[in-house]
Amino acid sequence: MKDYLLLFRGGEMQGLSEEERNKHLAKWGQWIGSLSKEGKFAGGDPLGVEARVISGKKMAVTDGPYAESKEMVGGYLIIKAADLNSATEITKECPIYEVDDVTEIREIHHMDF
Amino acid sequence: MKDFIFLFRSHERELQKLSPDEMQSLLGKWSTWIKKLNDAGKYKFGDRLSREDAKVVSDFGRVVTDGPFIESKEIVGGYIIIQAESMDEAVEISKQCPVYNIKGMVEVRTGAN
Amino acid sequence: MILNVTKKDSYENLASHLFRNEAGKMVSVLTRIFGLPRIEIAEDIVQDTFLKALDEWGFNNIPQNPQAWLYKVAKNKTIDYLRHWKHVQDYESDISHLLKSEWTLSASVNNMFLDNEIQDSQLRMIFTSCHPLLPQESQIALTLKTLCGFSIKEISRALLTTGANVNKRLFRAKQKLRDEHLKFEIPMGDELAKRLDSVYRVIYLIFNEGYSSTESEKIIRKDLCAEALRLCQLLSEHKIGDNPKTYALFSLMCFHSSRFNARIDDKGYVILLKEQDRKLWNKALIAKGFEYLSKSSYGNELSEYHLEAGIASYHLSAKSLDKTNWNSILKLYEILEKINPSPVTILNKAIVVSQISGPQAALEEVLKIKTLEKYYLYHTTLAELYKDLDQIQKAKTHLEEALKLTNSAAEISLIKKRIEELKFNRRFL
Repeated sequence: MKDYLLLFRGGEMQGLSEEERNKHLAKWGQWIGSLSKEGKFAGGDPLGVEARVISGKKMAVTDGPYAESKEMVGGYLIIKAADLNSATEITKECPIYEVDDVTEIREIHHMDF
Repeated sequence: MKDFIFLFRSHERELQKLSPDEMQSLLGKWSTWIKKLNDAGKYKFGDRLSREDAKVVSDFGRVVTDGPFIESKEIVGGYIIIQAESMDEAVEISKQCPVYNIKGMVEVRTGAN
Repeated sequence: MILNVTKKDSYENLASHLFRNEAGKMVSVLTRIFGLPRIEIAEDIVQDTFLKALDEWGFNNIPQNPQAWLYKVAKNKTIDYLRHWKHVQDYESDISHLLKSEWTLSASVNNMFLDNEIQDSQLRMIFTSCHPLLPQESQIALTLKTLCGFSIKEISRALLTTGANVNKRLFRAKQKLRDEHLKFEIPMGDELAKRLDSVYRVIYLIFNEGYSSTESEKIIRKDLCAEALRLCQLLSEHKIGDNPKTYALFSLMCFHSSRFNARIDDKGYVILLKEQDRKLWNKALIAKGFEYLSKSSYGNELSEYHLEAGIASYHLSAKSLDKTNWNSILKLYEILEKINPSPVTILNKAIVVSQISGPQAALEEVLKIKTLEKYYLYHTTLAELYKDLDQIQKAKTHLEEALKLTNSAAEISLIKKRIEELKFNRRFL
């Protein structure tokens, strides 16, 4: 089993009515619940809108990173999967696609020396 | 008629010991007492003070501590301002105060003229 | 000048015992979130919630919906706690995995405060508190603490023991629950019937503590009876407890409650059935008792609660002592004696025999019982029968024997009163 980081871009819940929102959150509960049961869930949280970008050796600080909310990272999860393909299959089950999301899946690289 | 301030002091630990039922009945005793004072035209205003988020600021603001909760000390749990003819009458009124139910005490003060 | 006492929602609008009932609900819900081994966190958060209510509701500033206010504060305190320890602590609960991520944390906590989940959590708490692994006296103390919101002091007053004793019982009970890794759940399958019986027993014992004790204060005794009725009702509203035995127990407790005010006088003395003012019996409770008695009659189960409720129903429907249907009562006692041959059952049966066939027949029945010589009610019953047979000296001997066997101040003075009456009796013989 390897660890994979899922980076969610978009996935805004703002447009949902309260009822839709509750339904949506219930699906998250079910999904994370079943992942946990299979030992595939390792953590992760949604992220706030306010952000700073620190760049370069000079550590220039800007508000940011993107004005376009579609491209903003809205949250992350860490899951366990055998390989990138099965991580992709797992991600397809994620309720976040109900709210139009783009997910980047990256293997967590172990810095072994 | 003069204004008198009642400061209610009690031990935090006495409150902690109360059961839910006793807390509800204490709430009732305060309510009844204040109403009685109000109906007699003696009550001006007052409130309970929150036990959370209290700070003690000293030395021109250079020392700020969470407080004033020291186990052995009384804290001021609330105050009211009432009207009475004399200190004697004010003291008489204070004798009915529900704070005695939690082994508390009333400090009766009058403004300096 | 703004007067903050003129606000509409004053203290009077608070349901009586709201805090006590909500305490039971919230402790149950939070124990389900934090897991049984961390029940203390649940209790602390609930206590803090009420203290905050005391502060913020001020002298007379009760929120429009006090229950919703309490739940909101408890939820927030719970979420704060979970966030604080998120990366450090694991919880032994069904939803522990959902508490580890912000994707699901607050929705899951909110979910637990929905009506059906609150009910479910309370049922889990009843079955856990009444778990047969715990000694019965601990089951009672734990039930009063967790579901009824009683403080240590209130429990010790109700059970006529010291606070230190109650503390010890609760501490050991919680330790036991931890050691045995008991799950906070509703039992299923074959286990259910046995576990339900344990719950019924505790409810009935709590009720009896309130109904029969002559020593504790009237107010706490009434509270115990009310709490037993509430717990039984809670059970009947859930599919798990919706069965004839639950209804029979509820009916029985309604019947007994209806005589609460008639059976004890102002000084705390027990008034015997034959001396009770039947006008003081509570008609609404009697009607409720009959309603549930008929509900309890479907199916073919005949439990001791059915029989005791049946016996009470004959007493309560009689216009006077003379008009009581003693023959029907005797039949029920005979079945009850087979199911549960307890000393009280046998003695009570003898009193019925005395009504039907006279004191001599009853005396013979009682004298057959060999195991009750150390039981004060055995001697008071004998004394009563000897008195009816004009054997005053024997009556006196047994009353004096009974005196040695009880420590209850109220019972002692009642027995002394009866000894006095014997003297009076003799003088006019």
